[in-house]
Amino acid sequence: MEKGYLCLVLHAHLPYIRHPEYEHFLEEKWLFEAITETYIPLLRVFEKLADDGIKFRLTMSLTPPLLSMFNDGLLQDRYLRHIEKLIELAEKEIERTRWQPEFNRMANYYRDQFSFARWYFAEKCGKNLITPFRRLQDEGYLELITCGATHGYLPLMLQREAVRAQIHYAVEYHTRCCGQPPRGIWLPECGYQPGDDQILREYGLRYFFTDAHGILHASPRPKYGNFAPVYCPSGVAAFGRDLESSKQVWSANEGYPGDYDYREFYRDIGYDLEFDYIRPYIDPSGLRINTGIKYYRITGRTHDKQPYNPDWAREKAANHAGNFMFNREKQIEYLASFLDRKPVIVSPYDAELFGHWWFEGPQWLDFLIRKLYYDQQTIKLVTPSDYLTMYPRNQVSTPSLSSWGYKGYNEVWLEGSNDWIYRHLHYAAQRMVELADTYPEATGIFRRALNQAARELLLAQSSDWAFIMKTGTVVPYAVRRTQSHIGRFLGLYAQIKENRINQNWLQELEAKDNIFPDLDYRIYSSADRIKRKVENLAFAL
Amino acid sequence: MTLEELAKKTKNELLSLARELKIKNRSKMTKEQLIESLNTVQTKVKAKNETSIQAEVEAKKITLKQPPEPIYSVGLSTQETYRTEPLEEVRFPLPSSYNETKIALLIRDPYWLYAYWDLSRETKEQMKKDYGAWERAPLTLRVWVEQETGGSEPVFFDASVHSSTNNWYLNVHPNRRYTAELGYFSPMGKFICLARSNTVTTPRATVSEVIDEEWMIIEEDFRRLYRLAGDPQSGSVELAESLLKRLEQEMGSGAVSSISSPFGQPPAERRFWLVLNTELIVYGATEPDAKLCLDGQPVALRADGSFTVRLALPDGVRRIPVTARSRDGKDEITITPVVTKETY
Repeated sequence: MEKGYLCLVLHAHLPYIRHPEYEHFLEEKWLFEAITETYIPLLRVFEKLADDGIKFRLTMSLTPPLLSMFNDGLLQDRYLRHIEKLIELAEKEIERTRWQPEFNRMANYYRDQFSFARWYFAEKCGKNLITPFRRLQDEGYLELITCGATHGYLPLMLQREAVRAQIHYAVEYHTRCCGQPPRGIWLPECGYQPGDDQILREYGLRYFFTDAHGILHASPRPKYGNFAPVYCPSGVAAFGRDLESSKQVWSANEGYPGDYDYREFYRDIGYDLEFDYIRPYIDPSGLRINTGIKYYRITGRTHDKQPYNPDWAREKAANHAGNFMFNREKQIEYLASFLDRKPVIVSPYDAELFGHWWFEGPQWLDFLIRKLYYDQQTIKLVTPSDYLTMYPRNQVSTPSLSSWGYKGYNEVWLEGSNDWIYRHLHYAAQRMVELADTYPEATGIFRRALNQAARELLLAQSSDWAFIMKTGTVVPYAVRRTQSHIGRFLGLYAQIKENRINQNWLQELEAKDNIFPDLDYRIYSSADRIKRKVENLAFAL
Repeated sequence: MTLEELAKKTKNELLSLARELKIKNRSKMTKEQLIESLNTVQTKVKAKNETSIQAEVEAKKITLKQPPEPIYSVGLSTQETYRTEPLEEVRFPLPSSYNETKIALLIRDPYWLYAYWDLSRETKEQMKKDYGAWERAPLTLRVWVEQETGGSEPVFFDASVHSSTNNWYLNVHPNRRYTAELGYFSPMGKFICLARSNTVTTPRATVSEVIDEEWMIIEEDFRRLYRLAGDPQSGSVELAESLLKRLEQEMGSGAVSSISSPFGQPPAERRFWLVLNTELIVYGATEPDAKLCLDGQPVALRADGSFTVRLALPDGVRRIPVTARSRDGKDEITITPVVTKETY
């Protein structure tokens, strides 16, 4: 009989990036890389585990922007184009590295990985990756949960209606894509503000997650710390992240991914190889970028990187999985020694960490789940729903405002580089509510313009833009996205109010910012009417 | 914060402030030392903020003189020039003011609030009446504070802000309710409120003192739970401090939230370097329908019978037999270059 539970949560998210107006668009590659390196390898791991008869339970959030991109025909075709180019490059690499067996082996490996990805994507899934995720959900392995409609950072929204719209559309879209309403939610950036749980409750969501201090600083004081959920006064359960298990995987210094035998992310042939040779596979502007083909291992704190050895890396991934399991067993035994109920350890990670950044991550997860299944009895893998079924009675307490960002609060998304965006976001949200209240029954082109205004606002709210402004990677792009969506919103607002909608422009925006084709602007209505309609929808499903 | 205000704080509160301002050796200081160093640093920070506002104002003036640019270059670095948006987008620049008088408060963390505000033309007219130019009116944020638990009378503090800015960070206390009023002092010294903000409650920075009798836990056991979350290396420091230290380690969205944010930057040390690699290009042509092998491996021919093979060339001596065989198999030609590469 188990002594405690482990709740692994993978949060899969990418901002909505789709630029039909350009033939090639650099940032669209984020999705393509994640498909090849993260989503397909993870799906492969889960499917093989299922084939081998291993029972496991894992929670995964697929955010609405990611689901939308999975559904999008243009991006699907562009992914195929992308992966076919990569296969071509890998073929060339196999030839080029003929006299370098240590690289040649990896070139072959990449060719196989890319060809498999192509087959899996195009043949097995009919170009839509939602299908296999949904199958794993229906077979009882994955619990798919949702997130904010565009990953908007809720604690920095002023209007309740803005928060509600993020949740409302997320639940609606998720239900449509995944075939059942989500039971839980991964709040964008794990950002919780007391009171938001009320809105989750309105949409039938039964749980969410906070960072450790969200629960530890909850009031009244939580009896089991972050090793059991608490119920918010609304009745929605909050699960707190365990920092010890997080650190082992996340930390760039102490974490597993920094092991010297693992693959080095920063040595990519996109940067390493001769310009004319690599040119067709980098950005058309000539800007060198990552291709995904990398031959070296981390080696150490040195520039003199050694060739990657897949056997050593595999061995390490197995060791690290064993180490992770051992530490969780110790942790659970320790907690069981003084707690009067079985603890649950919540370990959430960004899904893109696995495979993309941490190349061996999917392998590690595979080893971990197998070991948990065969080698021990202390820990059982559960999802939050499983836990709440076993323990329906929990302490009532209000978690503290918190996020999983640096320093644990709102600072990542509110500091010198990005604080200027909020006056615009709040203004637009306020105007959107006004529009929804003024025109409750719009039809025809008015309706389309109102729906598009809602899309622009949602897109502007993605926490990704503020995050990028802070981390400084592709700042101009993030600034531009914020400016365009707000600018487009303001334009639409003026045209609607002044009854002079420019049909051509509207059409252009509908084609460009085409996220959520079925969006109904009335989710911004402050009237109760709509809210009730939705409650019925959420509970009826 | 004045010296008196600092003196009223508990040592823990001072420590938290010191952490905020990154004061070194804070954990070794006495309360008096803390107050002294906090006071010095605060003054410096304030001075710095004022200079940066000045700089901002200067920058704005300069921008105004330049011919209007398409909106997407506003505030962008030059990197952006390699991509431009279609022209129609220029129509909707983001306004610097929405012509409404309002103030809003956002929480940054338990110790800091962010306030932004906007003034309508009408409001500016009103201020102009009193002062000749609205910019001369002493713009002030009046921040009302209430204990979260209630009980005590609300109190306020005033923060005077420069008319050239439209936002400010306010140093506050955890677990209190705050509302800000935007206003200015009339020439008679009366505070004239222009707008009132939303009310926010700062998060607590430590464990709740409220205990639910039904869900009691022994103090020592709770500390054990808490310690599991904190930073084990922080030793005997207060538990809350140890947790905050842990939160400062990168292992959340700060580390890898987006695919665009590399975790663990590549070694950034600045040093001179040289990388040298060699490749060998073997190329030629034969009958377009011939079969060609290089070192035993088939090579694809282009439609015109030409071919190119590109090979990474490590050190050593290599014989590279290239064999072409005619379609009917009757003719065969082999040419074998020998390549030596050495590196000194």
